[in-house]
Amino acid sequence: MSKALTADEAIVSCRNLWKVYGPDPHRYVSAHNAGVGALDGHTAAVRDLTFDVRPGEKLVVMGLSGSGKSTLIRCLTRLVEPTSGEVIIGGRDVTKMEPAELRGLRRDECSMVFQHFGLFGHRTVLQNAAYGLEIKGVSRKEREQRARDVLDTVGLSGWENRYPSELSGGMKQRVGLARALASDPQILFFDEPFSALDPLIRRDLQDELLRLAKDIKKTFIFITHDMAEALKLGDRIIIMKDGQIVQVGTPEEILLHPVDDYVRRFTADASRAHIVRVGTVASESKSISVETSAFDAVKVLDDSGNDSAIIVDSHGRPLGYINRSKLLSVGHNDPVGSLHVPVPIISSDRTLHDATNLVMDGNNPVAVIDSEGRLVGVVDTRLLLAALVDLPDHRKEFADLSR
Amino acid sequence: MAAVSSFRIMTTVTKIAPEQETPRAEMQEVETKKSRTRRELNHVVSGLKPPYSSRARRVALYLGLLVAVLSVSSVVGQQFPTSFRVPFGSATEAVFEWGVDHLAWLYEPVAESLEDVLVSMQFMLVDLPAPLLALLLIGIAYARCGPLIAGLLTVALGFVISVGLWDETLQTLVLMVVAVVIAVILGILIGVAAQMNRRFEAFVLIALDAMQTFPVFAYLVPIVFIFGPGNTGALIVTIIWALPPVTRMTILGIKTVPSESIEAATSCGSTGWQILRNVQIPLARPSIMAGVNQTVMFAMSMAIVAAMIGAGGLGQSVWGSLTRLAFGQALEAGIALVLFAIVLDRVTGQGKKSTGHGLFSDFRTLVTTTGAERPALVKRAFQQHRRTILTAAVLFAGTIYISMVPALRFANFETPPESLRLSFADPVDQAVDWLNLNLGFILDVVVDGIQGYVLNGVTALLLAIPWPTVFFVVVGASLLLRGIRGAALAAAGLLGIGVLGMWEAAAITLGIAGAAVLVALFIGLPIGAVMSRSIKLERTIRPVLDVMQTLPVFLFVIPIVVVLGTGAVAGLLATVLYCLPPVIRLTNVALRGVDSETVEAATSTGATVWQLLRTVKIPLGMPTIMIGINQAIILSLAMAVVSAFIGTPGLGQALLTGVVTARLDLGIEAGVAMFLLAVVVDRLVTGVNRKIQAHSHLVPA
Repeated sequence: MSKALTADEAIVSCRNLWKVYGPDPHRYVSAHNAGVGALDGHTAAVRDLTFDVRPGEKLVVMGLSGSGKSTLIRCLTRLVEPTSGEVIIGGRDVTKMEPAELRGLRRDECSMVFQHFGLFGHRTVLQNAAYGLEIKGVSRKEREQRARDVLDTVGLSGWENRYPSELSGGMKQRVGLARALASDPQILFFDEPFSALDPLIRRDLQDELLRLAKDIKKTFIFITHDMAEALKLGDRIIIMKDGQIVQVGTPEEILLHPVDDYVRRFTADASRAHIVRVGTVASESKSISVETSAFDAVKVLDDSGNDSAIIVDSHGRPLGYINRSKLLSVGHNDPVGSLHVPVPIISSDRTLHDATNLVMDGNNPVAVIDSEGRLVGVVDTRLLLAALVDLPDHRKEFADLSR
Repeated sequence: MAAVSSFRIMTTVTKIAPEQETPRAEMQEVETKKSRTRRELNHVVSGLKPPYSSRARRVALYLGLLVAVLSVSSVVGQQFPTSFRVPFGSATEAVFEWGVDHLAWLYEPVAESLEDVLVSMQFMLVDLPAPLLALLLIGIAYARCGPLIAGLLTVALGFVISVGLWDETLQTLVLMVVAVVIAVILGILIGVAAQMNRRFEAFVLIALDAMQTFPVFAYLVPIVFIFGPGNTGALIVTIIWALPPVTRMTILGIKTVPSESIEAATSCGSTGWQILRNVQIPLARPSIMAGVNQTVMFAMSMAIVAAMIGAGGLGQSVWGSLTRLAFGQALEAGIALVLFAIVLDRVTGQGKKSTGHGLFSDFRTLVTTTGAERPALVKRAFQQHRRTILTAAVLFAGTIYISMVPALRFANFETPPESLRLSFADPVDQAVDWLNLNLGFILDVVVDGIQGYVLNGVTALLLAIPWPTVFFVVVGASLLLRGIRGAALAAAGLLGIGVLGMWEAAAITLGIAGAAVLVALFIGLPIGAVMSRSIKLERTIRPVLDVMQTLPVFLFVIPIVVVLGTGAVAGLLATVLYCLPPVIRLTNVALRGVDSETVEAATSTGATVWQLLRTVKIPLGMPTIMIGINQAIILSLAMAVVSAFIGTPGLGQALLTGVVTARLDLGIEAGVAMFLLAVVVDRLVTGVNRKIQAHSHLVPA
């Protein structure tokens, strides 16, 4: 679990957010807070949610239908009025905003992309994309220029004067995306934007979104019911069930440490290759300094019970690989530096998928290095395969990855 | 799956009939138990107390039955006692008289300005060169609907000129245009306002319901009383009658705008007004336009009624000729009305499937676009608006030409030269005379047979049932179907009819309407079923149904009276014809609408056509078929007044007497009784409808 951020660090903060439907929602919440049993005839779509979103983060909220995720995202900009709690965006409490202030927030700071696109069928693609700017009162020339630019960004130039009815589903959602981007908001909300699309088009748009996210530094809050999508897009994932948070974590945390069977069932089929990082599965390897003599090196191996080791330089950077038989075949005083064979290197934050080729290329293990280039461990075929199919016995204990 | 749900419907349907073989009865027991538990469960879940248990309902029903039986045995054959009579009519009349004496300053300016609008429009049209007006109308029809409808309009205009009805046509046109414009403006304003305020919306919906259930003729009397006979009264009646569709469709259209579109606009920071202007109204436009179309047709259907309170025009020609038994002339004006109704329906309807983008917005796009796309856009715009551009050009050229040629400019369409005259009024009258002389005796036998054995039997039966029996049966059924409030409403309605002194008349009206609906079902259900199996047949029948539904009610009467003469049988037949289209249409829609995969599933198990119909299509289509039956019942009641004109007894006749003899009290009493009857019947039928729907399990609870 991530620790809470202070209000300054978070761009969006939810504090004890509730959305209850029924005859007396407020009484329901106060009854809950007082510890009295739940009132009959009410449905709590969002129950006491607290979480933070960092600037520039891609936060994915994952849950099945009825888990309250769509209600949650609508509560954030009060498309649905929350029952109680606070939503702080950019340091201001959205739940206490006057209508005009709220409109200002919606015009300037947030945009939303919808599941069924929410396009205006009576307006051209260009007019759809320019809508937000029109509402802001930007002049026609300026807003159309800006709309053309974003339409170009999403790959729709040439379609400006068409109507939504002439577009395919994927293109419609590109218009939705363009409309959201046009007003240059800090925060983008996505309500299951790709659920209504074909799998291939969905993947295209996911890739495009990742590319966009790299280019523009914006905060994404993304709703989905598709675990694979959540794992692919999210920097962090919130898993919701019955209006509550079940787990918050990076894709890797969720995948490797599901808090309960509910989460485990989602992750069971997930492809680990693109999510789990090499550093997570690498086994610790004995490192031997390049100046060590062969004799001393054998002693190190004996002591550690290993058969091989990685030769490192004085900064701990891997230079090559050496094993016992090689060491025994040379003179006692020969420095190991002359004996090693080159070793492939991979950075610890690359994925298993990235490591596969390196591991399969040779018979020797691959050295895993940290950001400074120092050795942190090795992966070999055995570890890689075990991690890919999630064999629990062979999984190396996973260090706390929360930064 | 389909088989299961079909079985459920079968059991619920058979529930109405008490006798059934044991296994099915057992299943039914299980079924009711299940649904009862579910209902109770629902109450528990929602934390609300059940309004009353189903056992209480049953006990109440049995008690009601007991009382009914007791009263039957004690007061057999008794009519509603006259001592209960309440002088509602004369009291209302007094109120109206006071109103006319003291409140004239309030409404007279309105009436006068309406009158002014009508008169000045009239003069404007008369001043316009007649050929130019014709060209303008044909041009609009062409631009909207293409050559076919424009051709039809040309034929229609040619027809009215050659039979000498041009002036009448213009009068009708003016009345329709003014009424429709006012109704549309009011309707859209009310609809938009209703969208903004929930309480106002609830009020509007109730008011619209009442307006549509109330027979037109019922407010004919007070309006004549207030405004006097003439065009203004006719205009107001037409506006009231034509207001509901556009209002309803505006409300519906705004309501059904996808919530995501509104959320999208909201999340961009739009104000409420911006959402209304930019999103809700544009997206509701198709619905609003459909409402406008209906409003036009409603107004059109009032043409003849308007004539009864002194409006001129084609309606006057029909009505006047009918009262003089000049069938030939009535037929001429009737044909003109039919042709204009068809053209108007098409012109104001959705027309061909277009991209739905206006000339204006397309050309604005053109103006603001520069660069490489422009030529393609120009081409597209010209292609899409080819007809409009062509029409504008022809109109422009035509205006110049007509203004330069005096013969055209001062052309007199009202009295065309003898060579262009075409009138089949005389031959038609002769044919009718011949028919009556030579074949009359056969028809008489048929008519007398139906009158003697069917109609008289039905009314005699209805009148023979003592009123307490009717009362308790209806109230008991309402209790079962609609709960305590429904029962209270039914009781109030029935007692109301009784104290107004209309019990007997209502029984007769109900009998005739019921007979007509049965006949319509007997004819309509098979036609609908056959129609649903053949695309070719559907293509043939549909336009006929369309035309039948767009026709003013009175036009059904003309041919029937021509052949059968006046009387209750002619009224019955007219009513059958009038309520037939919805039965056929909705049966067809219902059977066609069954999910194709479900049909395939049944077919793949080897079901025959008949089995498929019986076990899958009819059960699944039942809710929709019931809507058709529901509409037929309401239409048949609405027809009561019209059939009264051709001598059918009942409430309609009382109302008509009120209108004709200017007896406000009688008119109001009959009108209110009719309203009450329609409400009671409507609630009962929709109650049955809901029961069927609820037990069909087609809609999640």
